[in-house]
Amino acid sequence: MEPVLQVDSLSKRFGSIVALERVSFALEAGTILGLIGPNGSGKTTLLNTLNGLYRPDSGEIRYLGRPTRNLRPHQLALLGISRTFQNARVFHTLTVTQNMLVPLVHARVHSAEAQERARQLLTFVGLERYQALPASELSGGQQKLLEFARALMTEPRLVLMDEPFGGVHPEIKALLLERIREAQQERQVSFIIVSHEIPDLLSLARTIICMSYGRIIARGSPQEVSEHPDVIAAYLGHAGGQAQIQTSPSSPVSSSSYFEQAGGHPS
Amino acid sequence: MLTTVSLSLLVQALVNGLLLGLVYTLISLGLSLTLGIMGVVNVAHSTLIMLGSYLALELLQRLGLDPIISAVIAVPVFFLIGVLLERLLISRVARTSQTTGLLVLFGVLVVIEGAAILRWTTDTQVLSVSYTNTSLTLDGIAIAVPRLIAAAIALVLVLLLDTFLRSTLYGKAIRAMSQNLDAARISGIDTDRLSLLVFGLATATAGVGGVTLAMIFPFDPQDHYRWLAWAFLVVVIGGLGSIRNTLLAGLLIGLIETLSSVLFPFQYVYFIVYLLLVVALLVRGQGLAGSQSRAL
Repeated sequence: MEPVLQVDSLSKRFGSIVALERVSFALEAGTILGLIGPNGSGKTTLLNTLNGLYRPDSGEIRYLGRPTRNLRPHQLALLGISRTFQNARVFHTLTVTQNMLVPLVHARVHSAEAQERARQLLTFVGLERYQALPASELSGGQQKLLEFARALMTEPRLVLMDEPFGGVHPEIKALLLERIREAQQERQVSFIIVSHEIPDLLSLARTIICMSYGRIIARGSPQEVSEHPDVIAAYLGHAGGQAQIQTSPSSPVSSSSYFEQAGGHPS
Repeated sequence: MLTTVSLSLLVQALVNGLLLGLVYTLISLGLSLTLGIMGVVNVAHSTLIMLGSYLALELLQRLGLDPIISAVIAVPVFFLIGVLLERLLISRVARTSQTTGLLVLFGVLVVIEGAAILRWTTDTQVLSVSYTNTSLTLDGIAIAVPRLIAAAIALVLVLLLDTFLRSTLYGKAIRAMSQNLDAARISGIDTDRLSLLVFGLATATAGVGGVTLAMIFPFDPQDHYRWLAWAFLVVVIGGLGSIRNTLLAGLLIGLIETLSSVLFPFQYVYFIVYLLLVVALLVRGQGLAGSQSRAL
């Protein structure tokens, strides 16, 4: 079966800094790839290059067999590559529903269908009761949920997520983990997830890639990568000794419990 | 220095100030939109206003068209001029850095002003139509008809633009783009296409603004700097990209100008308005950038 994404020898420099060096990997449909690595290892640059915000200096990206080099970010989004950011970038003065609808401004989707899709996705992430609120009134964690739901509006085949679990309430994190799994299993969406929350990432991803200084230094199952000496060295600054990468995942919760505990209001 | 004035004169100044303020809102809107949404400081904005005035003059002299009709014609004509400017210049150069953009647009200002002087000379022109010197009198308050019509045109355009930005999906996408460009792009919004639309709309407001100003004031190819200062003042006070705040600021400047002209000798009026610009920039701290947090 043709991979959703095929990356070959991708390189990107910023002046003298090598952000990506000959990065290659493939992603099968309906799978989750975890991307780990110390700060500055090139993870976010890789996401920015995959969704067209940066142009690679060399190498090739193929999405569903099609080269993406000359496609702009909005074209990639409409073709099915969505993205979330480390700090949720919602449109603050627009309502929650309006945030969901604007990605379809150029898509040939009937207004009623778009509204229905937005309603379903907001229900999916537990934000249906906040539809008419300005996005600025949501908590940080809820903004991450909104950004995730917005990323699904264009019915993507691939979602790139940058630190989705960082700094969010544990119950929102659990809900997000659960919804990512559902989107993967029921909608066959593929994910590339960058995270420093390694236990959570290991609970989701079948394959992990570890980057350091713009290069892939290890890839394989969570177990293989977490025990890889180069990975341990990259995180600890030296090889050998006991592996310090915690691998026990947090447990999921139901979608409604956080909001019920929060009294039904954004915190 | 302060002169004694009657109540009716004050009310007259208030009414005139509000009408003038609507026109000032219109001539400032484009500047606010391009700066707030695209980050482009369009210093050539006032020359587009000036071209709007000359469009009205040419249509009146050649075809006998009323400025009201010229205002309608100005919308597509200046929208097209804006689209061409954006595609040929702004999208290529101006967004690389604000300084480069500023220099390029200053060049556009010089070229348009020079071409206007060649075409129309530096003679002062007046739009003279059947209702130019007529006024309506209400409880002793005289309202000049051209000023009333100009204000009505401005109000209609301001309301239309506000409705477009608030009620249509394209308008909401433009607001999204003004808040976070990268997030808009990766969401599926073609920000290049919307920039084209924004610059076209901004230029259309400048063109119609020029028609409305020509209904009120004499004009020549070189007096547009005054309108540039006025527009910047409205933007600094009203914030970037927000039509409602721009409207409030426009009305305030209109009122300050007309009330100053009643309360102080004429020569102080410009001094007061320019002083206000300096004070507003100082109070804002970060100048124009300080206004960005209130965008759309």
